[in-house]
Amino acid sequence: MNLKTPGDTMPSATSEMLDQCTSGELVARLALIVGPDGLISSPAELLVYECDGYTMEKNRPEVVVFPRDTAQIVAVVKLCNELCVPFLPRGSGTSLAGGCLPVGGGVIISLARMKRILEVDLRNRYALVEPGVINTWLTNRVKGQGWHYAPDPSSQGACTIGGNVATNSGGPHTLKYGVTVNHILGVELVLPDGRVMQIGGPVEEAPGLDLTGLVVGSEGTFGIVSKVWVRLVRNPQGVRTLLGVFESVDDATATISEIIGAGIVPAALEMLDSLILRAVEEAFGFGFPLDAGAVLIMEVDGVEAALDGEAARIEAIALRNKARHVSRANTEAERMLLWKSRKQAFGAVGRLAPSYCTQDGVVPRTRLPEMLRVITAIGKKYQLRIANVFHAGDGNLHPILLFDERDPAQVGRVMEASHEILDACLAFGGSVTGEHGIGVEKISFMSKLFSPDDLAAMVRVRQAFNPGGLCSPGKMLPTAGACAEPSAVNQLRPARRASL
Amino acid sequence: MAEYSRPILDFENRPLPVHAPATQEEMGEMVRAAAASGHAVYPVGGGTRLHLGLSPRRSGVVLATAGLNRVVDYPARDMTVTVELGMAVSTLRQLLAAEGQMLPVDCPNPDHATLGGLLATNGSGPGRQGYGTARDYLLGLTVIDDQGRLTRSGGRVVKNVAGYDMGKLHIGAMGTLGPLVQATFKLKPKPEAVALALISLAEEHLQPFAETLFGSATRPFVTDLLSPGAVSAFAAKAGLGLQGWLGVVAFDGAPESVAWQLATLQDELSRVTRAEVMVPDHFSSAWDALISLHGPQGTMGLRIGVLPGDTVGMAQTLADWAPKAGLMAQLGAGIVTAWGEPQPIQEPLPSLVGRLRQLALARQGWLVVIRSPAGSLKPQAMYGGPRPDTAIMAEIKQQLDPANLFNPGRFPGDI
Repeated sequence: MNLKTPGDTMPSATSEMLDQCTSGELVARLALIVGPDGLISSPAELLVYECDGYTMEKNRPEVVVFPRDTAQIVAVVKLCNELCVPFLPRGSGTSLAGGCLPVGGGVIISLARMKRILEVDLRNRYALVEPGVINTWLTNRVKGQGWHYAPDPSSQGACTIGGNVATNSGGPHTLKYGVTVNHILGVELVLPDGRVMQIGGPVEEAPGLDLTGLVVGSEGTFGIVSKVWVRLVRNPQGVRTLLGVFESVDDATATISEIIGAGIVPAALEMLDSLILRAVEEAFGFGFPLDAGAVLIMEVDGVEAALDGEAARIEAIALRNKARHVSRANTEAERMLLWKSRKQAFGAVGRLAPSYCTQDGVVPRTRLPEMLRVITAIGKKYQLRIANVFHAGDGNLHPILLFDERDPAQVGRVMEASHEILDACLAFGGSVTGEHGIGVEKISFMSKLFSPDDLAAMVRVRQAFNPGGLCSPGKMLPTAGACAEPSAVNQLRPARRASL
Repeated sequence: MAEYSRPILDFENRPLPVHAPATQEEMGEMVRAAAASGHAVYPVGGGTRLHLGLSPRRSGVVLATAGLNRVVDYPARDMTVTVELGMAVSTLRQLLAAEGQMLPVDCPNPDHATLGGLLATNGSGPGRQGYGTARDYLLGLTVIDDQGRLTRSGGRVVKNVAGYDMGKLHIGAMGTLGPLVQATFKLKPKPEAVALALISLAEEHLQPFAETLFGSATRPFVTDLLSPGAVSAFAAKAGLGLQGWLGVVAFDGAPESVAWQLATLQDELSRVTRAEVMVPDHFSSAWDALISLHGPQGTMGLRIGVLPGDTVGMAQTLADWAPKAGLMAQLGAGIVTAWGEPQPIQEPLPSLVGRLRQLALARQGWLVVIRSPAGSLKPQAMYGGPRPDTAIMAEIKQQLDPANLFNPGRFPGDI
């Protein structure tokens, strides 16, 4: 068969993309680049790479390669161009939006073996890392010296810096410290045609356009990031972590509004509702009251001299908003357990149901009480249990829809309920994703968020980087560029629940 | 329409005609009309930073944004604001101050400078170390494309990763990718207390001063160093009697935090210098004087970026070469701004700029000429040669503005 050339419509299934012969050639030539132990291509091994943390849609890649350096990425990308095979990068596969889903099949370029911290320069407040470095490794590396890497997604023990760059990841502490883009100084990018380009770097504000800011959050559609200069941040002198227990979600959200309104900038402001509390308590035994309507984790940090005063103000606000009680984490161990409970809440959800789907809507934070009531109503309407654990200070919700994916009827209801929740976020003036990305999951929402003219401008920018459309086809934008049509993955094909 | 601080752009010594649309849609129509008649479009805000960039390459029209100055939405409790970008920076500042909030991107001449100009030129001031720059506050942006259509990116909530972050592309693009007409900003609460600390320094104490701040237990949001030439300008504007090198440090936060940090800094610096930390009584006049140093001064102006640890070295080298020059080193960001009068007798300007740029490049940095006597430098000398990513910048320009409608010639590298 003839291989598809850019400009053709890309078929959905890999089997149509490459016949046996070409597939054999692809694998053999990739092996010459990365070595026989640098790739996997047997169907059994490829199962893991059919999806990421978003398990509602799946598609098998032709092959997964594990390059060890930029030169190998370049060679892989050039080969993909020669054979007109689509390719996309993958970190740890923790995306909750299908960011690593190989929509057009083809080659997954796993950055798992590019995991070196190449340089740490505290005097100049940066580190240079390879994209496969796990988020927490970086903070662990500089911990004893009083520095850290600020973006802290809940999956930070597993997710990679490269993945964080692709999705512009957030995390609890982004409320004060900003999201990933605020901490990336530059990247080395392998362009979809194989050229290597340094964008930005350790020195701020290089002349010209801020391409670093554009590449962060581009979900792998501009090329493969092969090195990252990240900004490191001094640790705060002190921290106070408070736990507020509330009878109702409404009281907790009223507290959030008042804290922000009072001009306090907490380091983090996180909410857990009663359903998620039950799962977390079973998993970690922190001592959360199981009869509470909601709890808030409220953290302030900074110069010691002001912290007790700030903590007291927060405590007073919570009590004024009918908190049952407010307690402080008295030791660092207690604080770490509290944060572990929060950050691993998603994992604990496995105790509540065999499958779950996490949403990532955002509303203006003053609309949180209304939005949470809408979520409750949607849960009732579709007979689904929905747990909530989220970045309340940012108005960034993570409703977790619980279901059993072996039951197609439930899967259908989850999809409909998810869409209704995201529509409600838009109606409140918000967004369908605060930090997980569009991926394939929310691609149908792009035309609700943006006009055709808005999207056309974004397509033009993608054309500048990725004119052939071979790199990460079918992601982010509803019109997927020259080579592919939108989301070609079989919808609603329930399969195994991927491990998170 | 706003008064402009100097003649608006001209082409071949003839001032370009100025149109001032009253609405975003009207501006879109003007862009369409210009495109149809083959004219270029030069968007202009308050005209306070027109000295940045090169001269227009072809004839066209100036589209002034002054008529676009409405508040679209200010949900203060959400700490975001959506405004049209012809609004003066000081107008927004007053609006926000009434709610105890701020957009912490400083700007000289705020009564004339517009928010659109601030974004287009990526303006920043002394607070960038603690607060960051415009890229850290822009949530959503509306620009006019080459067909005259309003195109939007981002949104109105504080966290949003839907779609490409086109706003980042337009910050500092000098309007070359289309006129900026509306934006949503993330806001911060005004700190309860602020204080400025001024420290007179002998030249041998400059590096130790920088290292003390680097290792300090305090968390200043400004750590600047001013050369004697800069101090005389600063002192005159602030009404303070100062001379010689000056360290400038600022703290914000709760009063007890600010007080503790001032005391701690004094203690830490006592190991370096016997100079007293001086805290001016009137914060705002000293602060405004400091911000004004970020505005145009002298007939020659340079901006240099290096690694933070190299900032003092870079500033001292410049001071050795041009003892009278005004120099402001932002120690946390690694940015040195220099201004003064060129002395072409000693060394031709292109050669001097070339030598200084080599020094910056050797430190992984960059050098941009932000102001120079007309005709004294070629475009290449102002911005330096192409960088690794210049090719993709040109490709983006080609995609978004294939007819080179917006600001032709004003930005280097065919952007």
